[in-house]
Amino acid sequence: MRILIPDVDSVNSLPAVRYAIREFLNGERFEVHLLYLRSQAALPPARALLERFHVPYQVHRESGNKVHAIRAAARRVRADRIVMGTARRWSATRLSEDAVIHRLLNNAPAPVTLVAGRSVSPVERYGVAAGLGAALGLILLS
Amino acid sequence: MKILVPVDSSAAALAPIAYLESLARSGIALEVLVMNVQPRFHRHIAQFSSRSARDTLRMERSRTAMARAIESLSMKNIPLRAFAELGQPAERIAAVAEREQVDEVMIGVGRHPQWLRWLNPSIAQGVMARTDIPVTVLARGQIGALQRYAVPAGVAGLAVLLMAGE
Repeated sequence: MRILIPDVDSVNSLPAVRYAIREFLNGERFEVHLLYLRSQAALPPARALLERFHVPYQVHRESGNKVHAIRAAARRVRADRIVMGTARRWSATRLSEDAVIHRLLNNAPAPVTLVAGRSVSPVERYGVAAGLGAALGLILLS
Repeated sequence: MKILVPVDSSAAALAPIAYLESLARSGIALEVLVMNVQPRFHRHIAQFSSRSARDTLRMERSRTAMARAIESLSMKNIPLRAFAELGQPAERIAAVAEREQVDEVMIGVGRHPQWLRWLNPSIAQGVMARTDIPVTVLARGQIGALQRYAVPAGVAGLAVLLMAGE
């Protein structure tokens, strides 16, 4: 069994790796394929985690359109499952990720598991909404 | 591993069952919670029927929707529990997932074009918006040419005709 873990952003890819490790410790046997869509900056933590728990893995790199890259990689490695870490609901990061997630869910060649990541700070939860509301108000007033 | 599988009467909803069977074959201990959510009737319809009649109808529909999933899992000796819930599907699925403290929610969905998703958002996405429990989505089927091109083209054509007529 092969699990593809796309690294879409720096913070939220680690929950997906942790999820895979948890499944591995629960007895599921698979090979992890880490797909990097950005710079190599986030490579060490994810790899360190997998190595610590002796989860077999391979690293792949892609660039360009994220959805196309993930789909292509999933087909190439013949992934049985795609595990994606996402920001928690009601966060600014999640808003930006949603487009990728929605398109992937409709077109993925394998089941897609979404794992929520770090908790959202009050600033991110309410500040973004308040900021957008204020900007909209200003536009309407002008 | 405790997994919640919401099902309706569609074939796509049964996609997680085959996946769970493969997990069980590989030796993973599973506990599956199969659930079906029936919507509330509109009050204008509800006023002409008794509560017991509505409950019986919902129960019958839930039983039919879950029958194939329950049968498949039972045949593979996978432990399961079944729930019938009432209300808004995404909200009830997220609530049951939190209440039962499941490890994962697995949802089978049909593939639909983007314009249809705007009009009718998927339940899977509604669940994801309401809970932080991992959600696995298994998409099945293909988007038909009629859905993808003919309907938007028809709507656009109608709009052009209306504009031309004014």
